[in-house]
Amino acid sequence: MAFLDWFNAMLNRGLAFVASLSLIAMMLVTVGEMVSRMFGHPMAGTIETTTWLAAVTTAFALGYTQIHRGHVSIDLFVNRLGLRLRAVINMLMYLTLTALFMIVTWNLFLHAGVLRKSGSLSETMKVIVYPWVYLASLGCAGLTLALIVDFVRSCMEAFSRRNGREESKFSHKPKGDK
Amino acid sequence: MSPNTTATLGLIFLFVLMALRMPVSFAMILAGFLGNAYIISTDAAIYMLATNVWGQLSSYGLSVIPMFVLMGQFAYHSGITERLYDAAYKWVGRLPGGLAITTLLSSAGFAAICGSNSAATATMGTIALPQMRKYGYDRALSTGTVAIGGTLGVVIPPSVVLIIIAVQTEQSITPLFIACIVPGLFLTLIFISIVFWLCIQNPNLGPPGSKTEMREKLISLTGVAEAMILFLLVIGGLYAGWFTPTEAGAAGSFGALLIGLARRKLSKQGFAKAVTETIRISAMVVMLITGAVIFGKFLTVTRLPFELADWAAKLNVPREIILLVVLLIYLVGGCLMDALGFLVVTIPIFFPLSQALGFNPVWFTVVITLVTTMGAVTPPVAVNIYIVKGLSPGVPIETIFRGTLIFLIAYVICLVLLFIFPEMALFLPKFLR
Repeated sequence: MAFLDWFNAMLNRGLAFVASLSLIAMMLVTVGEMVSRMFGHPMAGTIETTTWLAAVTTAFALGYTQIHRGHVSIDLFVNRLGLRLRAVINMLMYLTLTALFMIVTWNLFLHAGVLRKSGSLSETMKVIVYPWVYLASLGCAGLTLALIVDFVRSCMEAFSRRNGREESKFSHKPKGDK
Repeated sequence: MSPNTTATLGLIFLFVLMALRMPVSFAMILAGFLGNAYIISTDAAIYMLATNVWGQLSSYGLSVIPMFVLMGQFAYHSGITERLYDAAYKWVGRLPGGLAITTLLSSAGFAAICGSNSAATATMGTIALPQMRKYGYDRALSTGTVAIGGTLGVVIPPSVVLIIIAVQTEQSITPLFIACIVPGLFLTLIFISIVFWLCIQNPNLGPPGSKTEMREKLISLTGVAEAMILFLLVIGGLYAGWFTPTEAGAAGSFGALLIGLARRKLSKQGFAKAVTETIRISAMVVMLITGAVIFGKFLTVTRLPFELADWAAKLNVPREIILLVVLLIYLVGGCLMDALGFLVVTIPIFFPLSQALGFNPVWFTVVITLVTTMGAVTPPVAVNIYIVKGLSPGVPIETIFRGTLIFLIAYVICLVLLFIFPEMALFLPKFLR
């Protein structure tokens, strides 16, 4: 579990770092195009570049967001249940979500393969698109890994011998930001 | 099973998943995927899943979200909010309830450069709560002011909620931003009037602050100027047609970054925090929209939204009554779950209904934005209240709810006026067209 936790943290932190760079690049490319347009030299393909950078920014942040419990969810009902029941529900939920995002990751990977084989090019710059789809698939893989770790953790909570009186030692508390 | 029954079961399944604490975006993706697999075919559902995820991740329309979030984050970490607060205090601090009024004015000012409810609440709470505590302000008034002031983050443009509705309903973002300016300012004015009235009735609630020289007041305006420049750059540039919304957000982010660097207020840590917060919020919002698109496609295939709209349009009931029922659903939904999540789930159902009933799309968007925003301060699920509670652990949550409750009157007045005078929202977009 320690290795899995470490690998999950390292991979998603690395992806988040690339997402951050991509975000800044997105801002600079957009502002750069606006400035060069003001001087009568618009840069072709800025919109395409922005969309790809936006895809990397969002996809690479998915796992990091999951680790920090950043995806909106409703605590109202489950918080009234006992810890063990909550852990069982979490276990089933994370198992389902892991399967779902495995499908998403794999099919994005296949979709990139289809684009590669068909030689699909972007409309303005006429460059290959598929590498960006592979990157999106990698971002979804980061999320899948984060979900697998959550699943393993909730299994350990559900099957631990402690009864639900206190917070289990496996209870996950995201590190870093509040 | 008929398509309508399938859609109804799909909706029930979605709400069960959400009640089991599955993230709203993932629950919508799962329910939409399974629904599509049942109604069309598994292969088609898998294909739609992959292409829709890629389609939303690489959507130029959605690239506006990280840019506007980044602008708010840079503005916060550059100390713009502190300077806004300082300026507002120097001008109105002497009035009864001066610090609470200062909080509301600077919340409105910050809302003009930040589009998020929770960011506005957390930011203002960090600055305003210790000040009000120091000057012996009533705890219900101080916490209530911060919580309700935070809701302006969504109402006053730029607003992430308005961007999401615009993307989901394929409307132009600019008229929505402009339409929310008057209701946002009107709400601010009523909030201030309420504070003033409360403190006139009972001066102990918010004692007036010390006198400030005119010179100090004038110097403090530089703190307002930078926020005003950013707001005018973004909203003015959008309306003048200089920028697309993404470019406006990028220009605003870059401007806020330059202000932070020029003032030497943006530290390395602040920069890193602004960027990581932005990618986190953006990933959350983009996944919410992706989920809404996938679930919306399932509902579209079943034709439930259209049949519901047709059915409601044929009812022998005034359309305003139907709208009130819809708004009541939004109000209750906003109380029970995260307002943004509820909005995203229900837009594919209620927006076509509003159009079948003949309501102006911009007006309807403003109205549902106001109603769902109230969800951020209404129990039991009230994100702003919990943020304020986190910032002032010693104050019981009931006190914060009590302090916020009276300000909801402002929302009710604003909504009633919007019903009576729709031009309150529609005049400015028409005038500036």
